[in-house]
Amino acid sequence: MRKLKILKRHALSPRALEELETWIGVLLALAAGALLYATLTAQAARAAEFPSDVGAPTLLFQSASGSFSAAAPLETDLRISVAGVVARVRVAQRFLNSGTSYVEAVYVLPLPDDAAVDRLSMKIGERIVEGEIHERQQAERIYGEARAAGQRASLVRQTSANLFTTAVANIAPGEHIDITIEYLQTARYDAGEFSLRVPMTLTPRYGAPDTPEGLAALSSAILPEAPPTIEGMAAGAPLRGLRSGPRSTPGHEAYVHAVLAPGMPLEWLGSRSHEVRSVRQQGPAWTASRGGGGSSAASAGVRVTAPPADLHVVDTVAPRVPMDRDFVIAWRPQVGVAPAIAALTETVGDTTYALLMILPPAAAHTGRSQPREQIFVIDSSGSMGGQSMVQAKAALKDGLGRLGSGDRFNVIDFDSSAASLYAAPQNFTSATYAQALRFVDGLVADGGTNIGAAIEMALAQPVTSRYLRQVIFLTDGAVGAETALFTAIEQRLGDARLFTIGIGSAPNSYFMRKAAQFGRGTYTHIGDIRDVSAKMTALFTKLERIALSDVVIDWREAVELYPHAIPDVYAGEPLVLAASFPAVPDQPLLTTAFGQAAGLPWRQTVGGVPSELPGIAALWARRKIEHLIDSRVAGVDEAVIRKLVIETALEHHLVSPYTSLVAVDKTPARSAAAALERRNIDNTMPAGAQWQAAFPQTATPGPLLRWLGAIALLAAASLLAAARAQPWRSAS
Amino acid sequence: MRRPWHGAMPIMLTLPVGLHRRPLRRQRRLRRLAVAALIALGVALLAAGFWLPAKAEVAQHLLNRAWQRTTVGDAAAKPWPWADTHPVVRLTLPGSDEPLTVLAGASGRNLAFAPTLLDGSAAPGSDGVTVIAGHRDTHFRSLASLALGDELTLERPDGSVLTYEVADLDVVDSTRAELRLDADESIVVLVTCWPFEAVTVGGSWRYVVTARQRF
Repeated sequence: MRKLKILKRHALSPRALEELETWIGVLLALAAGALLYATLTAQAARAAEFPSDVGAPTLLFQSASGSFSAAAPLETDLRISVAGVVARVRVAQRFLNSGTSYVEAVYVLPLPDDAAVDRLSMKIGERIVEGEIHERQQAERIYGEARAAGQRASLVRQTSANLFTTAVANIAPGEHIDITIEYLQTARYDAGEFSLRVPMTLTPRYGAPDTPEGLAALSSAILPEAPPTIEGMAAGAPLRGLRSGPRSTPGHEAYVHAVLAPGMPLEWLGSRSHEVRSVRQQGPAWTASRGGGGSSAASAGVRVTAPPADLHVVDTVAPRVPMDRDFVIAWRPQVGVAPAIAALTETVGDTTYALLMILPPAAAHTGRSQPREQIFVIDSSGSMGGQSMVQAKAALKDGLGRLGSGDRFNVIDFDSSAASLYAAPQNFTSATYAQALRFVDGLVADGGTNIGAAIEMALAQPVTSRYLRQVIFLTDGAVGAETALFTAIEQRLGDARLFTIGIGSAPNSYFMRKAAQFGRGTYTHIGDIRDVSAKMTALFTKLERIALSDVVIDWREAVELYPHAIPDVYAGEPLVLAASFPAVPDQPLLTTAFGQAAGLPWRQTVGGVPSELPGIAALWARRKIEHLIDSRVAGVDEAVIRKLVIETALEHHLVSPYTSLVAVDKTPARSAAAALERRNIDNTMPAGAQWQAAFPQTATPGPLLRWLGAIALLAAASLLAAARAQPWRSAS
Repeated sequence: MRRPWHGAMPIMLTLPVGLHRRPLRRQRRLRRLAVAALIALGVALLAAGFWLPAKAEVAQHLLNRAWQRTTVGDAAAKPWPWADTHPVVRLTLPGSDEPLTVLAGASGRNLAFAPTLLDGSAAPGSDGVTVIAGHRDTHFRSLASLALGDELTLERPDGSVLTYEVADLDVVDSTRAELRLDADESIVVLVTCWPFEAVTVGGSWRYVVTARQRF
């Protein structure tokens, strides 16, 4: 009997145990899985709650410290010096800490897309610290160390082609630090007029979607290497800080002062963006231009040598202007005085750098040589809302109205997706014209900016033989993932030409210009609705006339020329080339350019003139870097590009995607005990743009946690109940 | 008693856990451990799950004190010494006599304590869109019962009370929709997650309440 009992106990218990243990295993596994899931979702939620930490691609409203009210507006002092077509711009900004703790200020600085940034200086009280150029990671390390050690430091980094970030660490309470950045750029020439565009605000960009792949594509497109190490400037940084300020914050204001030595008598001088007044002066007395920035005079001053040409001093009528639109200064030489070809040179060491500008001859013929097929692509995304959309519609209608019988056309509208008026281009008739006008009138600005889909659709339109395909693209270019788009354009272009038209007060002109370059067309910017008709007329006249083609330059020396391939030249637009070659002492540059103008051979000879404003070398280096970075689209290895860019940038003291300027004041400002607060400085929204925000994450993991807790307790209870149901347990 | 068992195994649920070969005493200990662990886990999860709404509730009381200081002119009154935010306005939802103190900055940390005013959106009462975000399962749970025409009020630090009328209720996909901040009048937009009863977090749907100022 007893034996039986033992047997029974033993026969039962292993079975029961086995079952129980199996269930325990299952339950534990379930609980562990649920816990893991809860942790993961909670983390995902947290990541979504702090868009700044993941680099969300749209316009962000960060709330790092909630201290907007304390962030003093930035004071900006813009000094522009122009000699011929070379301009040096000095941007002095006063970072003021009106708070009560040490702060680090971060500001996104919009610069022209061809800017060669070569100088940084930091002024604290009367002391001036000059910036040094370093490889990017090294510069970031230097800055990070100085920042941790409580020293005042500043860092200028290129975050995308036309966006630079300035960071200033350890600004003491009540103190201000003046950061001065200088860059070189060239004036544009179009239809008899030179113009210089100094960006003061930036378009918030719509980037790749916020998937990991999208973000990766975005950051690799703009930041070509591992993210910077400085905390808070993590991957995806190009879009960081693109916030607009709260409405209550006064916008940033700038003082703008320009000195122009155009080197030729002018018919007109003014600004397309602001009300300005100009004063004409004689001789080089102006070099002692209004000071105020301390170190400014030496660098902003232009060394004027013989002959004492006319100088023009330009100021805005208002003493200070809000930084809500770009500053555009323009000048028109008197008819007939602009040379057909000009070469500015600068010799550094044993190398001579030259900037060669060819103005095409006035087109001899006006008749059309080839029937055209124009594909109009219009951006109706949310960022186009307001004035920009009105302008774009006006420009598009203007373009449609210029078509004639015998032309073919189509209209593509895009926001988050693309849609076309016709499946294939149609003949231009009064009926199709009316349909097109109705289509345009019905456009509403909303949704995202999916330029890729629009480009695909435009370039995939069925080709009509004998017709010259011209794609005319109207957008504010608020896009992020640029490289992919350029690759698409280059691959799908065929015989078509892509012309980009930038709309609004701050289009992404880097994208527009580059897209046009890859599309073998040109870029037009329309900043003011009053200019729509004039600019469209100019563009369409141009589209009918190629002024100069098959250009060949005869250089005597082995030359490194940018761009490598010389493009077609349209009437009214110059060809600008940058070259470098071994210097020949005491022998000025003499070159001859050959080409085809209106079907006839064309030839011009030019002698080089040393530039009054140093910087030709830097401008050449900037073009070289741009060329190197563009070669990524053609599949050149990243490591090779990086090495060459760093070499060039270090030699010419230039900020590039791989190099940064850093300045460190050796005297510590902050003791280790005092905390450093980070503060982002808002950019003022471009005039005419609409305000948008990202949605915050608005749920707690509370309900989920409660459910999981209840499940775990239930599991424990059922386990206990199962064990109690077996009396043998207590016996043993 | 450690005789290995060789009898035929009845039909039972078997999983490759390999525990049945363990000695009996160890098996009992394991079982007890498992029960204890499950209880501990369950209690911890429940505590965490109830702590979140409790924190949201308690914080409102602390915030009320900070609000009192705000109303007497301390524009950046910190609700607790290490806070980096401050009350900006008080929101009263219909059917509640207890106003919610709204903090500046829609960060996750701030949202745990109070509804928050989105940085960059218009100041309450000024032309433009004032965006206030809150958690669907705490402060903004009652948004689910809002109806068109309902009245909500904003109390500003200077004591003035603005009245808004609910003009639109909408569910949007936050990954596609845009939160527009431009307006020619004063508009209040309340944002919370949707659906209200959802258990998991991180979804892309938002419940958006639009209210226009009424004079």
